[in-house]
Amino acid sequence: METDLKRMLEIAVAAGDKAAGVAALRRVFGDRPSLANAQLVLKHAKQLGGENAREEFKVAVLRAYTVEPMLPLLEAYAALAGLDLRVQVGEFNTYMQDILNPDSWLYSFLPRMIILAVQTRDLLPALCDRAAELTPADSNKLVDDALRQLRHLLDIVSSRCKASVIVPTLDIPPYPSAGILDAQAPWGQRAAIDAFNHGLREIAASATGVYVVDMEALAGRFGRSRWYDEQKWNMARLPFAADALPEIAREYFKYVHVLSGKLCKVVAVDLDNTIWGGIVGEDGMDGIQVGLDHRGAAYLQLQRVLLDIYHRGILLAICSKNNREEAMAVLEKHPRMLLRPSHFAAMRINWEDKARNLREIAAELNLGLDAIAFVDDNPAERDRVRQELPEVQVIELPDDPALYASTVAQCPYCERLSVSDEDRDRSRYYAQERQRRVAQLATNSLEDFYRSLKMDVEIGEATPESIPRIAQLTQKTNQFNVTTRRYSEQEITAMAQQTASRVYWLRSRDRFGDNGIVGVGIARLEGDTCTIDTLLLSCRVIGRTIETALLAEIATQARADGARYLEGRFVPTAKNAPAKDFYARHGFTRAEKDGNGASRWRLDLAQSVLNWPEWIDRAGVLQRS
Amino acid sequence: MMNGRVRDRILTTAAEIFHCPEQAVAQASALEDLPGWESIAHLNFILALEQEFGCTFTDLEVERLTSVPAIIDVIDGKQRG
Repeated sequence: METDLKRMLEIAVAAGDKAAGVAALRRVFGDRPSLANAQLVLKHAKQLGGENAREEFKVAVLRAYTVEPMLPLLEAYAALAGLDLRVQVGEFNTYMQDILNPDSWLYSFLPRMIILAVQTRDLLPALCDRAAELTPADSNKLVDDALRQLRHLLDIVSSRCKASVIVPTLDIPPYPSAGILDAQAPWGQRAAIDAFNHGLREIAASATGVYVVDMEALAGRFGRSRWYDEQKWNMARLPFAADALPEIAREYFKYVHVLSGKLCKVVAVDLDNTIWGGIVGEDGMDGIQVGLDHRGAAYLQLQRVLLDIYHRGILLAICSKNNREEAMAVLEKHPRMLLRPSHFAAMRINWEDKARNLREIAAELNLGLDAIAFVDDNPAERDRVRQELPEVQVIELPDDPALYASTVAQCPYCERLSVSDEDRDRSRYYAQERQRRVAQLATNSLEDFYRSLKMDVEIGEATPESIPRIAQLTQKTNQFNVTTRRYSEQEITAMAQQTASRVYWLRSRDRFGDNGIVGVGIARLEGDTCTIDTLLLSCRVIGRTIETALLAEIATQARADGARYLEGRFVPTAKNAPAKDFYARHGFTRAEKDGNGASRWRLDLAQSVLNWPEWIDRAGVLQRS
Repeated sequence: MMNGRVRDRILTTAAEIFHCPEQAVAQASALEDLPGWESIAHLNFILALEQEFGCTFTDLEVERLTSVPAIIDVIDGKQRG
């Protein structure tokens, strides 16, 4: 099997067929993510990804053990996702100096992500070496001191750089010092490590840009007795066994994936033999398998995973070849189904080509094709979509339906590092949006339509509560976004604190419901000119003049701050055509155009007025925080 | 026959890890002589062999993993168990 794939790879490389080459590499490495196959991926990644330059992503590793054998694996995962990982590794056990020294390589390297590769023996050494001698008070103090020191180090990192820091939970020793008694002892190793891990979660919850990687859970999932390798520890200060390395790399890759902003926004699923067993058109509603019996359980489990994904704010869609009535009957009436029609933001249940249906789903939801993940049991359909729509993330399902759920659950594309209230309510918004479209058809003029929406808009300046959502919008908004600048929470916080700059959020409501925070504006005052660094609107609310309200508010505030001119830049991307005429439509004149097609626009505030649209009510009064 | 397959798998693994053609591995009397050899690559190679053959080497075995014939010998010994 692997030799066949490698032959396919050689043929593809020789023929210069990049798509086939990448597909073969993905299969080879996906089937067996070994160190040898990682090198194979890295050897070919440069040639095969040659045309579109891969995005660089810098990772710093601060460590107390040998991490080097994990790095080719992590780099290979990243390469297959179109990322060029640059990794720099600190010296052994110098992670504190690396953090404390302001001139350290860590800060000049400017990493996006920092991996803190430490273990229980590093952070709680006494708990490993002489646990039997410790009193309960000793072990409490050990844990408190370790957490205090960690919090201090993380504070220093976040004050000096913008990287996200990934901190591991600590793991229990495979054989605790007190033997079986450790399980119940309130002062044992297990209890102390639980307390530490609990404290670590609290740190992550209160700090921005600190995330926990659950190494303890990972060891448990894999099997702790096979996870560690004493021989490698003694020989090379590598704690982990050879087979554990791909698991660790894959887990860290999920963080790389999310932080790089490559996020899936909709999962499109097939129906027959994917979310239920059997073919409804042949077996009938009574004949399909879904539920608690042994064959139906696997499909029910996949539905559970899809529901988890839905609650993270990722939309679900159906892309399936069925008779629509039969499929809808199952979705509406089958007693065992977890997924119902209301969970799906778009449906294409017909006999058309799936690539075409996916294109339509993307258009209907106002999303790019690269925001779609596709789940289908049929390898031919997956191949077809992969060839026709290389941007779509096709999830490679194994042959055994029992493994469908865990395969989708492991997909890095569907991971999130935060879930906001807006995320949780997203699918409801889309259902409302379908109603709005119906309303638009029923009204005559555009202005009547705006009025019929009964919109109100609230604009405020960034607060600690709104900053995660503001950062998230800068990272995810592609269409109505004049400059498409991506900012982390730390960067937004920094800008909000500067007196010369203002960071605005915009919240909108209409007669169909509350849309939440859907707009962001960032403006900076220099001399007599207020420059708009960022102005964006979620695609949910495009085309309703809400952008005019945001611009009017920025102009009013700029005038109050003493600005004579309001300036903005438009930087074209593959996706932001909806914002192309934004400045021209609002009376700005073009000041200049640079080589990349970006343009600078200017408005004389003394001579022009930007009016708040009369059909939008204002909720709340803008206050400087 | 069995030896031949083990040998091929060792050559393929070494060629990927040390970034050289399989032929160069086959001709080298010691792995240390390969241009891509350094200590981290050697550690990676030991781990890659463990992944390839689904085994874990002991200290004594690791010390013997210095040439292709010696590696065949160690793996044969393990597989015969």
